[in-house]
Amino acid sequence: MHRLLLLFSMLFSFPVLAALDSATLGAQLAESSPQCSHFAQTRWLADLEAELESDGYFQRTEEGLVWHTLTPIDSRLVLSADNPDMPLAYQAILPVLNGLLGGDWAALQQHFSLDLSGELNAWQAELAPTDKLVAERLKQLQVSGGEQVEQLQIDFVSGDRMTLQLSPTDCAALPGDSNTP
Amino acid sequence: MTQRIWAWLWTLVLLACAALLFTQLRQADFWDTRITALLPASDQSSLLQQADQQLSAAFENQFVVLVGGPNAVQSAKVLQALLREANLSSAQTMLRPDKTLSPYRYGLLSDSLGSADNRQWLKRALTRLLLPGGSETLVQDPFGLLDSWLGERFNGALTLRDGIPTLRDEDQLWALVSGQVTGSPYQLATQQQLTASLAEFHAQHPQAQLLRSGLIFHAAAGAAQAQREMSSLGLASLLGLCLLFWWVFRRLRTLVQLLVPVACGLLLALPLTGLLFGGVNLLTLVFGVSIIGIAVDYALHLQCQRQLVAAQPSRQFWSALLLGLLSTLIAYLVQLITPMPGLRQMACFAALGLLGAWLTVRLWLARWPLSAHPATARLATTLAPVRLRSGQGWPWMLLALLLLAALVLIFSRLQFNNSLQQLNPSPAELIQEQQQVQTLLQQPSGSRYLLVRAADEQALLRRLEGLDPAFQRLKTANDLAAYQHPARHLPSLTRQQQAHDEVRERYSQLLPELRAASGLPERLQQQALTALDNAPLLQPAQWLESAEGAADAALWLGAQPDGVWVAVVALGDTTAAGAVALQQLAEADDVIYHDRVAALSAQLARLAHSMASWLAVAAVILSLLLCWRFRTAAWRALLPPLGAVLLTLGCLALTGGVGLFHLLGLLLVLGIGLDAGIFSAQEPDSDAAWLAISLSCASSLLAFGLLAFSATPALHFLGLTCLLGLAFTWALVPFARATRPDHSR
Repeated sequence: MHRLLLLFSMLFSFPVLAALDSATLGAQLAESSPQCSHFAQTRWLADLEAELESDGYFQRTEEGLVWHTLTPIDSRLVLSADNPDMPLAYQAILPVLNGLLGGDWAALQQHFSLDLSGELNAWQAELAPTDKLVAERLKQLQVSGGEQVEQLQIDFVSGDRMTLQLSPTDCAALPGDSNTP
Repeated sequence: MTQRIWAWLWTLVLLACAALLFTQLRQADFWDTRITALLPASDQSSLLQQADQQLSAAFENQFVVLVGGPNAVQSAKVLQALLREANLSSAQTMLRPDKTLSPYRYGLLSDSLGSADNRQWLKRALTRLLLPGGSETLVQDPFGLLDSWLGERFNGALTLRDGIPTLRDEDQLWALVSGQVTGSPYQLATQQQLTASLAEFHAQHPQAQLLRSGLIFHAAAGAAQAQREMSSLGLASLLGLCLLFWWVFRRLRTLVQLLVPVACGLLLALPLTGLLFGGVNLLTLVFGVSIIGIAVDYALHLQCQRQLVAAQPSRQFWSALLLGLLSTLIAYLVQLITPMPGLRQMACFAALGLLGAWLTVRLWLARWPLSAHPATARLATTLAPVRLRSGQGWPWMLLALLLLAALVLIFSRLQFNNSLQQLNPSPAELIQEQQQVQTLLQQPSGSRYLLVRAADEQALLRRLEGLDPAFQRLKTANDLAAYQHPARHLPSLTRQQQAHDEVRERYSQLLPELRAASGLPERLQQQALTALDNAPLLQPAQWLESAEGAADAALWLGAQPDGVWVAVVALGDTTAAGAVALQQLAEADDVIYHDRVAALSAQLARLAHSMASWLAVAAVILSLLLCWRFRTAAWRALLPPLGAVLLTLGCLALTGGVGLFHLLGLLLVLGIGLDAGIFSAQEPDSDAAWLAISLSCASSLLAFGLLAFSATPALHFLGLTCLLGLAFTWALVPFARATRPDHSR
């Protein structure tokens, strides 16, 4: 009898069987979003009909998301509303990026309607903007992952497209000035 | 018999007035609440008037609230929603002219980019290129020219968070909510809506800190204060008057008889003033009702005379009462010559009110049955010995010394003080909040400005551009808090063409490097240059007629009838050094410096000076009139009014100086002093007159002296002057009633 109960409780607590809803997913992402992550960015520039690739890592810090590109050139930028180097148009995109990469799913849902599919360890989400300011620039977002966000694609109204591949990494092992952002 | 006909005629006049008033009160615009109506018909040039009007329209209907505290952005959203419900929100939550200016970006080169070197340009382009999700306009603007321009020239300090403009001041994050009043910020209903919205917001977010800026907040604070004081001071004064009259007369009928002339005076004054001036200002009503308080005098004198001397007063009594009316009318009608429409209205209102009250006393009151209580006579007997006897020398010495001291003070220390700041009824915290908002947002207040003239549109923009470095220097040195002029957002065509050339130069140098660093195709260079070559220049009309250019359109006076083009440079607060530097700029032939507050203060000063001189003229005329009437006894009539005015001025010389509202108070003192003096001269031995004079001083002290405790500066000055002046008037009457040596009791 006890064994049976144990088996039941194991069955029900097994993540695979948990229902996939945005609240559960949000909790999981908030829990396990990495502090630091490698990225590989591919951008399709519609105007030029050209693709631009870059990679590096990002780190979540107190002052905001630090975006450190290593190739094609070394460049470091703090993604924060207070940073005067940010393009004005970027003020609309910033909360989206912070929400996705920081695991703040609830903040995202203020700007997007969410369509979830898959399971908790292998999910896909389609996000369509509901906020006028965001919709002026973003057409739609596609996000997928497991325990963390693994891939992210943003389609822009202008015809541009951005794809990010993410893989968690140990902050201490990062090169350069990662510990003194 | 003729008396009866006149009484009936008077009834008919009052009935007609009542009918007129009834129709007037049904008009929506009968009551005028604008404070500006009090101000002088402007003697400024039409150009300054046009600038003032245009600036007022642009600044007065706007307001801004900065929300701070925990969750400032979320709180600001709630406040925004509340304002939208109250129909007070502004369509423009934040100036974002990016769409309007997009085609013209190559002509709009910011100072920071203009002075940056090639290395910085390249770094900027690469940063934007590698930003996740940034740089949608790569071909159109690889170096972010427009962003730099917008950041430098429009709300530079503001950043959007969740669609709400915010700014950071040290550790504090402020979220900005802007609003707009449709109609006038002086409208009570609009003020109440705003106050209610803010109160609801406070209830929901007690922790949020608010900084308010905008005329409507000051107007609302003034109105709220006036209402509070009307209820507290007004009630205290009414209660005091009722108690005083009850203590003296102890008959309800007598109380009613004392009030009927005042009511009839109002009934005559209100509709006729409305007819003459096309409406009545609420301030006129407030001051005017107080001035009609003198009207109680006539009823008091008649009542005392009838109760204590004879039921049918003598001819001498009526002639004294008539002289009282005429002398007061002379003192008030002096105001009719002032250039302030508000004062003229008040003078007209007061004169009509006094006339109405006097006629009521003369035609009705004398015929009404008398009801007397013995207490009145007892009181008159108690009061009667308070007068100087012949042979009492020391009080005269004291009086002479005091008058001498007053004269010395007046000639050595008395100053006119007409600074508007002194009259500003706004609470200090509101003024401080407003200054903080203007500093944070870098907004000029619009209360001082430069007018710049030039031969044509483009020359005007070029002249503004030529002046700009001087403003920049002042701002950098913190001698000028903020400034704004149309050329800050709208460069001259010359300047735009220069920017085009510079951008083309940078493109040819930097685009190959950018391509090499990023690996972008060669097409980038050709496409970027094509976009640049095809770009138009921004024409003044396009910008000034756009929604985002509305603020600049307010500063653009355009072509004048004489063919000259004129624009305004709105200035923020300056230091003394800054003011000097700005005045030096205005020494050029094509620049005029104008400080609205200083100009208005100067106008008030001129007005106060002319009122003071007319007051002196009135005093001379009255002296002659009373000398002719009373001959050797004229000093009895002149001592209370003139002595009280001198002593009051002496006291005021010890305080901050004399302004317009002190002078208005002196007019009142003069009016009541004249009544007191005339009855003292007419019947120095009459106990009835002395009781009536005492009651008149006491009741006016209750009605106006209490205003000394008002927090509204204008009313405080008026009240303080009355408090001092009426006390002196009363104290001087025992001198005026001094017994004659030949007929001492």
